[in-house]
Amino acid sequence: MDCKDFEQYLQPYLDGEFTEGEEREIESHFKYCPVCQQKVAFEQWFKRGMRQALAGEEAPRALRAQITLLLREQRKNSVPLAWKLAPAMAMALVFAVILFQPRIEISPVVEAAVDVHAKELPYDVQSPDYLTVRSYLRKKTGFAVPSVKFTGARMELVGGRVDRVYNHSAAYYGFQREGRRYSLVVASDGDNHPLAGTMRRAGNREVYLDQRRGFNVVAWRDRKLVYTLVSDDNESNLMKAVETADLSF
Amino acid sequence: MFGWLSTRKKDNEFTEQTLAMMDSLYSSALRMTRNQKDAEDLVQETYLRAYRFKDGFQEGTNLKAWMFKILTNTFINQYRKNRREKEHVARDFDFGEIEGRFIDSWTQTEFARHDVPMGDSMSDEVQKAFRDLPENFRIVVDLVDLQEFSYAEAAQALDIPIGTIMSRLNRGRRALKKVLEEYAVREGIVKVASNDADKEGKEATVTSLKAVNGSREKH
Repeated sequence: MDCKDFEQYLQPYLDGEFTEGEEREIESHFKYCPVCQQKVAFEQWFKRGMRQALAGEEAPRALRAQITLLLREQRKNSVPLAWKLAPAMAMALVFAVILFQPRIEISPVVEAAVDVHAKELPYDVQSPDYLTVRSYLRKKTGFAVPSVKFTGARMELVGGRVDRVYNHSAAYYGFQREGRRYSLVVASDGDNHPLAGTMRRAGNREVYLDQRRGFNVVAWRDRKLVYTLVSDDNESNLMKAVETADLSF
Repeated sequence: MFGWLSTRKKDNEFTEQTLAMMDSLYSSALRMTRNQKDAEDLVQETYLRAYRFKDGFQEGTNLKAWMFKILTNTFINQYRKNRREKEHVARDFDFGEIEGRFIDSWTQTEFARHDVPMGDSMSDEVQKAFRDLPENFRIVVDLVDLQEFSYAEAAQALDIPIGTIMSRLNRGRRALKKVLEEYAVREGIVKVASNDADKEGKEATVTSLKAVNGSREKH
């Protein structure tokens, strides 16, 4: 191989297009040819620089969440007939499970809260004032919704809404913290389902941290109510907020 | 009777594997559309189409190439059509010949001797040059250089022969190097005694070399 051959193979060589044997043959040439060595060094430097100059970006988290949700919905709509009959089969299965192998169901409130967060529905009442939002929520849900303040984190109340969660009325609080949305769903869960996720301590609370559909979720129970805080903010910010959550009835 | 179970499983795998590619797809989409909003729409549309046509994907073939094929086709059909600004076509574009002054003298600069990376101002030149490349060439450079596609994968994604991939890649890279070379000579990042030597047909001689940190702009 001479320098002219080498010149021709240089690009595919650097792009890793040759087999190991071929690579060795090419390398055996430029090992002894300083001119070609320089060319290789230049090309490598150039490629590195180019990669840096044109480096990509991570997809925004909101986009990731959105697409994940869309694919999920597509999947629901495109299921075969057998799958559409699945609820009936699932019922039978649940029945069988209950009969033969008692097992605990995870609380549906948490999943519903993630759903509500992802949908970004408009507020029923929009106000930064806790009492205004709370009195609306109490009137509409018919239970003693507390105001929930996150005293340690700079969370601003945006508004409230009443949602249906697991066949019950649930109170929804929307917050903003440094441009990120936080959703807090307060729902009654008389069936005492266990919460999903890993157990953590936050202040004097026992909470469950989980990740669902790209969102971080923290859920805890207080008296007869389940509190679920969902956000695309990171885990540590979310935990910090929960540690200072102050409920006032 | 449990056929739907395996379909379901395949579906989940498909979703999981394609979702893992989102950062790569988004990066290329951003370089294609040049703005975040369009890039997001393009990526979302790509996923929806991929999901809708997932039966068209042959298992065992390259899923990444297939996804990028959808991305580039969607881009070409949808976004380029909408764009009012005329893309310059390849035949009007000057890919240029590299004079080699930069490459020759580069060897003696700090860049080569101490492995100094390209500075900010040179990065900017590369970015500009990349933006100016005709689309067909830009996409090939994107796939091979930035997404590390093999020639075969790129050929599959763009539905063109490997030979075309290679020639577009060569010409695309050459255009970028040419811009960088002109910039380096113009800015004195490499100094060459150009005129007389060129006239006499000799190779340009390097008279003085400076390693220039690109972040230091001089005019």
